[in-house]
Amino acid sequence: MSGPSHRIDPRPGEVLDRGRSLRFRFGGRQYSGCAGDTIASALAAAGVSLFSHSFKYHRPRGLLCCAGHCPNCLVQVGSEPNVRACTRPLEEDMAVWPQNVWPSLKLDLMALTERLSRFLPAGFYYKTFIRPKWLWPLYDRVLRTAAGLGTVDERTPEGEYDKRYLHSDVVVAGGGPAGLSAALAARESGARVLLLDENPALGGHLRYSGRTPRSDLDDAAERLEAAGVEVLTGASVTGWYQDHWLSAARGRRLFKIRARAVVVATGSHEIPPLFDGNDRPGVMLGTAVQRLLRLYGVAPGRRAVVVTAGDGGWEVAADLLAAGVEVAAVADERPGVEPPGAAEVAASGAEVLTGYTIGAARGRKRVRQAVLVPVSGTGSRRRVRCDLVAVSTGRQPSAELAWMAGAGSRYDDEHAEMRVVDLPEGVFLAGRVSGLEGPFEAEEAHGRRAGAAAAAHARGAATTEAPEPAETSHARDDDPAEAGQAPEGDPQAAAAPPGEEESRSSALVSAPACGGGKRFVCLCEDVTDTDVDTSLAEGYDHLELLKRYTTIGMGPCQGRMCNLHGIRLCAAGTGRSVQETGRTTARPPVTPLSLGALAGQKMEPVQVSAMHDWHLAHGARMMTAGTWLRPERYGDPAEEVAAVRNAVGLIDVSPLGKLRLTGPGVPDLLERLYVNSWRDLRRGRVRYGMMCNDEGVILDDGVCARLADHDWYVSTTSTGAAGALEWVEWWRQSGWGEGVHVTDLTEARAAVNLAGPASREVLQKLASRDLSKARFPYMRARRTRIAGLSCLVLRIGFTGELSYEIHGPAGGGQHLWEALMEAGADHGIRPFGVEAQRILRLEKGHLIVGQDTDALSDAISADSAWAVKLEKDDFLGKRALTRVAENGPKQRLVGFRMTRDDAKVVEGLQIVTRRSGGFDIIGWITSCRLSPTLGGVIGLCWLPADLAEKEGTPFSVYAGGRLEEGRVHHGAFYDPGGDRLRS
Amino acid sequence: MAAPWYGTPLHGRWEALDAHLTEAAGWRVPERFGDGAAEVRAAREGVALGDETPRAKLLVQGDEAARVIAAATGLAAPRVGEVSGGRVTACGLRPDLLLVAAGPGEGAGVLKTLDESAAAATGLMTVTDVTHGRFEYRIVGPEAPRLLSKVCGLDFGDDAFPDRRCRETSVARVKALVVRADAGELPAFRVLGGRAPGAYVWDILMEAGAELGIAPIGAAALRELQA
Repeated sequence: MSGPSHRIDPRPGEVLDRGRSLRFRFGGRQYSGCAGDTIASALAAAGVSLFSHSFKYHRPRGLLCCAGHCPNCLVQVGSEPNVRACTRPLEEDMAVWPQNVWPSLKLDLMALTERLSRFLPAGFYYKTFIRPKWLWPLYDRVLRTAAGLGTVDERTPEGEYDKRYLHSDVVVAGGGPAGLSAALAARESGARVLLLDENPALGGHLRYSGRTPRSDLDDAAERLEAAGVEVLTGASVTGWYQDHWLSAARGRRLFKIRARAVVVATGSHEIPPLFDGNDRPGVMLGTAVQRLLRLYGVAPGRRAVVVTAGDGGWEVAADLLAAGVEVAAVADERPGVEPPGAAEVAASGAEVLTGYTIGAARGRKRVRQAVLVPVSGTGSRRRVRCDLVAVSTGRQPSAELAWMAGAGSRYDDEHAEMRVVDLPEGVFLAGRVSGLEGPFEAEEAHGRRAGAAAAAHARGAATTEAPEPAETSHARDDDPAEAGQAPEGDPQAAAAPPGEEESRSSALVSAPACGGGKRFVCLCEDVTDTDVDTSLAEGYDHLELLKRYTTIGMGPCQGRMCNLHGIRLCAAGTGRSVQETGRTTARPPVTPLSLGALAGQKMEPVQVSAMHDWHLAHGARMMTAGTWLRPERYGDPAEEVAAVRNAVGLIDVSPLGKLRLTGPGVPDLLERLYVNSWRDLRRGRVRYGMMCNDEGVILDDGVCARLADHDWYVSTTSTGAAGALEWVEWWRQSGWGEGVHVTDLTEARAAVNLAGPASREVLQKLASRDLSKARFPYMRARRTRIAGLSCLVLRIGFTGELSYEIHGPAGGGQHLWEALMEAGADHGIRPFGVEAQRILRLEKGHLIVGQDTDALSDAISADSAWAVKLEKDDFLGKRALTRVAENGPKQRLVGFRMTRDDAKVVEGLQIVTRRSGGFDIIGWITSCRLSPTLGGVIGLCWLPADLAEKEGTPFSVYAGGRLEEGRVHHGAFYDPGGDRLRS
Repeated sequence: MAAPWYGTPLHGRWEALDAHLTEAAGWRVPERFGDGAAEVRAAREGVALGDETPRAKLLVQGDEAARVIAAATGLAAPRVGEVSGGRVTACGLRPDLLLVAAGPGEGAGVLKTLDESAAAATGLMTVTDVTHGRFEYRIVGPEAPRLLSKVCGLDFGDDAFPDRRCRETSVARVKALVVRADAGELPAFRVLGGRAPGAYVWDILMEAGAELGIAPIGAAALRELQA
């Protein structure tokens, strides 16, 4: 697995700082690398070839793509699972662990699974683990353990993630030669341009293919930024959404990008061929070998076999030789070719085999031998000893973004590539993603034209025309982009190969059979070509069905490595052409994203009142009520209740919705929105109001105060405030609000309720007006100064005691509160929380909308018929409520008291009647508390109307396996005559 | 009885931030947080966040809102999304809804003139003082657009959102009005939203701005930057 250093002499373009050594651990063992290394390159330099074990069969896996595409190098870094070792920069003291191994990477006992592979075909878990049903939890646990992808430590502190919104005229995805020139051209056309590239530096394949002087790339980002292009490296564009809304991820940050036009310059990527043992460590893509050699100074093997289907493999062979790696053989699928550089490779002593490809890779934890076979099927096989197989047999456009955007596809039989056709408006292709192959100057020219076209589109310059690759494979003197003009060309142009072909993909669906080893179509999910054949035979003969059944393309590579193989095998197995077979739907994300990045910075709005800090400072236990934080209690709620009943208490009711309604049309609007009457409400008076929808179902309640003829103050419930405002606005704007303005004052007013027999005396100390009963009786509203603040005082209450609801400027909320607490000190004033308030209101038999009512509770059934004025003109809910009134309710909300004062009943319990063999549910408890005032358990419940009709009717509550008796109670439990609150 | 005072949504934070408080029209706000010069520097070089909640804010509602405002304050009526005025400004929120803003303590006077002007209107007009219902934060500095782009989906580029423009949007998932109000050469924004989540929004902005070197800024530094 590891051996002597594979680090080679420095080369131009290398990204390492060899003077800075970094120590890290892998699988518990100490290693060292250089600054600039990735985890994978550092391990490869140390001679490590085995990185992880596979998902299903636990087969050894090593580096394959070195580009962040395949699943082979997924590792756990600290508490972070599924890190791609080939792209994650190395850091000092990193703790890296292999994934999906047990107990260790060297000895993975789970690898025994492969021995059972004949019993584990595609979809086996759908069939095998169906019965017995009760064993499923065990199956689930075992399967998850066996097929895990890293571990999540739930004790890990939350990471810091965030997101950022970006806007640009032109977004260029991909910073290779085409992307760079596209960005510059678009910028020169006056567009605001954003360029993103998934690699840490710009240049794309030029960084490792050695086709251009490195000096062109070193300052590429600086040159772009100097030109005014915003550049984001290390940022993958992960999705295209409607109207050019793109997502991109960089580390722990998610970007949401709005573009007017998008240039897709994502290049192409290699895919591995199908042959026996194609997943063995040591089998690497040619570009991966070049990345390791040129960027990280690592020779990934000592003795290599190169397999190619075009000129690319010969370049890889030359690179290996230049790095001092022995090239044992080069197999070129094309018979009789003499590509450039072949003579030099042959001169090195390498065996050159044309018309040959690879049939098998032998070895387990590291490839030991390559079996080269003639493509024609006739001729001798060659067995070549090696520790590295570099394969350059297939390349596909990385066109996922274009396809997500709605582009079509066309399979190019000649070049064995799935090409992009029928680009949607505002999407442009540049460079290799279009199928273009050629010198990088051709890619740059292509990019320039795409950039100019995109800029023109962004300007709305009446063109959506994309460059036609065949015409633009070579820079032209009359390039319209140079003149800042919109280019001409066929906007629907698909990519076509240029005249001088440099590389091609293998036309072989898979290599000739070579001994019955596994050929992996999908490395992520361990799907073999045999699995595909079996699935087709089982009837999953549509590509989308095949994908779902076998899970091809559903792993971390998101189909990049396997999609085309799946399509071609499906086509071969069904007798259809690849074009007829089509491709699976491209969906975001292109590459996997962490859930943390998707979630971003934690943003959960919390609303607090102006007195919040006081509550916290005085020991309040807070509770959430919608998005508000409210004091639930400051101490014992029973003591808080007692204070209100016997002296005075103060509660913060700032979350109540508060609307100002102005205009002559207010009474008419209220008449229609509420079940109550309003036209007769005089100035300075307050009335309870209940809002229903057109089914008579209660939406909200509160009070309305008429402050002036055309000036009303309306309160709503706390958690229903936003909904109530929306409801009122909806009807106001729908034609019922002629002559009405609505202003939301919910957050502008701090509100408190001063309740208890001593409340008048306390408030009078701070008030500028006479608050005596004669001057300020029950259900009145007054503007007055309280503690020096201009306030609106409503003589209302929810507790059943003499009480005042004081609405003052929110900024003065804490001052108001502190002044009241000080004024009430002599009377033993106590702050009370929501819990005490709930007990107090229950003792009065008041319902809470949303707690005691639900989406089926009409006003009459909810014991609020007294508020419903059916005799008035039309209002929301009138017809429904009229029917209920005429036919009588089926269920009723009614009070109850439990027979036993220590009965253990809670909200939500069901009310039942016995029948033979069990119970029938006939009702349920909505509110229930032990009343400290009454010394018994009281509450509200829904009961059948006939049962609820008679005071004292007994019923049974099913509580923890036993029945508890309760009895119907009508009206308030406390002060039923209302003398105290009117006092 | 203690004299009345007003606190912003951040009142409980000032002690922890070592704020030196001052009073403006009854409001207790930070004059500075330690080194005032450092606050100005942070604003000039990065981004700074100040609390200007005490500024007066009045909603003028009705079809004749522009005329009422013009008659009361002399301000040219802004179109929707635009801002007019100087010391007293008007933001166009809807054709029939404008927000008039003025300095701390100036609300009552402006309200009076607006009410008088509204009374002369032929149609229904409503003027409401919502000073206490809104937080108002000032974000100043070259990194202000970048900070806002982390909490709001709007385009804060100079072309898309130039000085003296306003947009109703959401900031950190809270409904808000964002006003571009540059401080001299420095890009600057006002963010106004409902008072109740004010502390939450402040915390989110400070957290998001940490990588940009955000600093809280007091009234003194804000005055200096505005001068």
